Amino acid sequence: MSKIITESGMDFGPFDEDYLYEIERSDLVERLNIKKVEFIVYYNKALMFLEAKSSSPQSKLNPINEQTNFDDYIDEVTRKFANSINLFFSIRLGRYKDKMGIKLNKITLSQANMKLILVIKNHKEEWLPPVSDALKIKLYGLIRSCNINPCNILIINSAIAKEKGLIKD
Amino acid sequence: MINSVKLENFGPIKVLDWQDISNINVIIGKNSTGKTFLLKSLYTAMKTVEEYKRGDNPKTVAEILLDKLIWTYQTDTIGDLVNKDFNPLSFNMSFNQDSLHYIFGKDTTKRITSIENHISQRSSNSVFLPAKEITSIEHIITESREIKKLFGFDDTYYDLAKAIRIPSQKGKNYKEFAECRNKLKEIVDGKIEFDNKADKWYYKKGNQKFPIGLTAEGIKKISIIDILLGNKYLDKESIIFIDEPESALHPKAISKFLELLYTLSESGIQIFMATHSYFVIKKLYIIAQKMNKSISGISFNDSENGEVEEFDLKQGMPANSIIEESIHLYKEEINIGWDNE
Repeated sequence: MSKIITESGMDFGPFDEDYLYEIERSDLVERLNIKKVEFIVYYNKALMFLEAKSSSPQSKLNPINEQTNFDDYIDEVTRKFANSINLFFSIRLGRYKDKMGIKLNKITLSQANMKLILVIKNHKEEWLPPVSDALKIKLYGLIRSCNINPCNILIINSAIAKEKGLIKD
Repeated sequence: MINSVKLENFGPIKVLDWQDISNINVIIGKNSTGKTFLLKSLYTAMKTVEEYKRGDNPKTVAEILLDKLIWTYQTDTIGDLVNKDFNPLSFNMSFNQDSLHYIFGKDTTKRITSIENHISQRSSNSVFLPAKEITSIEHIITESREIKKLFGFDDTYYDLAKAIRIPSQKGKNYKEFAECRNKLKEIVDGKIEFDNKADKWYYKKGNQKFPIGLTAEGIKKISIIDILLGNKYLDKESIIFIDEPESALHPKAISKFLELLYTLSESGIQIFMATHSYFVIKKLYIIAQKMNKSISGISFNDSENGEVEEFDLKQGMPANSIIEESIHLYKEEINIGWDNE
């Protein structure tokens, strides 16, 4: 069975449900009361942690004096990725139990090509590089400790996500 | 201040009609599109106006301009400045609503016959800050130009070398200038001074003195402004032309330097700069937004078609090759990340 996931006004997928963990809709995560990404999926030979946003601080009319907002935004996304990776590994280690795609529960973690993806809806292309650079700096410790390639942090807009096949036409 | 400029067939610039010039102006574009050419054309025009009838100078406007063009562009004949495909070269500048206009063709060697100057005589000085600093080579520049009469250091260097040798003037300076000098002192954590006895420049930090050769390039470059404010070569009517303000400067220093230039522009000084730097354009954009002031610019988009676009950073960041490259690098990285297996 395949599924389309609608988040922040974008339709992601379709993804094979056996490879999907809808962390955003998980009761366990609700109980834990932690910030998390939208979903985790094994797709295109990669283990993807995907967060969707309908805006960013730059999307606002006045981008000046938004330092605090920008920092908060980067912090929030960083926390979501970190918590979701930790939770995913915890479930796989048996420290928690949750409903996860059967095949996703069995992929070889040592070999998994992990990708952290943030999709911002209708975000202008020229606004993406600073968000990407800021997040890469913030996520440095996480990607080093999880042995993730720095280029595997993908900050993209809905147009690029569509181009890459992440969003349905 | 310079209000507008119109160039035709001036080196790589086929047509440029820049009408909305502000206090701070920025010129962007890829290499060889004409950024420095434009800066130098304005500089030579301003220096011509400033040297005309100054003191006992007997030269005509045409003679001064010819000399300035030859020694600023360092070309055997000024006809070489005319665009290779089109003829003639035409320059038209409006300064405080008065104009300087000249035309010459490819065959012009020793005389500019078509020139009209309606700009009044002025006592203020314009200055050109080249990409490289000059305090450590000032004596070499002077010797090469005054004794050997060689091409190598053009008039932007030579005029600056002469300007910084004017001794520091005592007495009160304009409030904004004093403020700038204090900011400069903070940025460079000291100051560059000339020692008359030793006939050398030094970098002074606290009580310590360091030879100029051991001083960081960026410090020497920024300090030129301090020297020119200190010796009162610059006044509120001056125009500063800066080629690549970013060279030898850390992005943090670039930001501070641009804030300082903004303060100078608020005092009345007009500023033109040519840049390749993302940080320069971004910081100027932020200044325009914060201060709600126009910062005009010209973007040379394509060297083949000679396409030029005017913009105002108050209205937003223009589409330009600097931002395009930043996006290009970002996309390259995204594709690596997406294709990683």
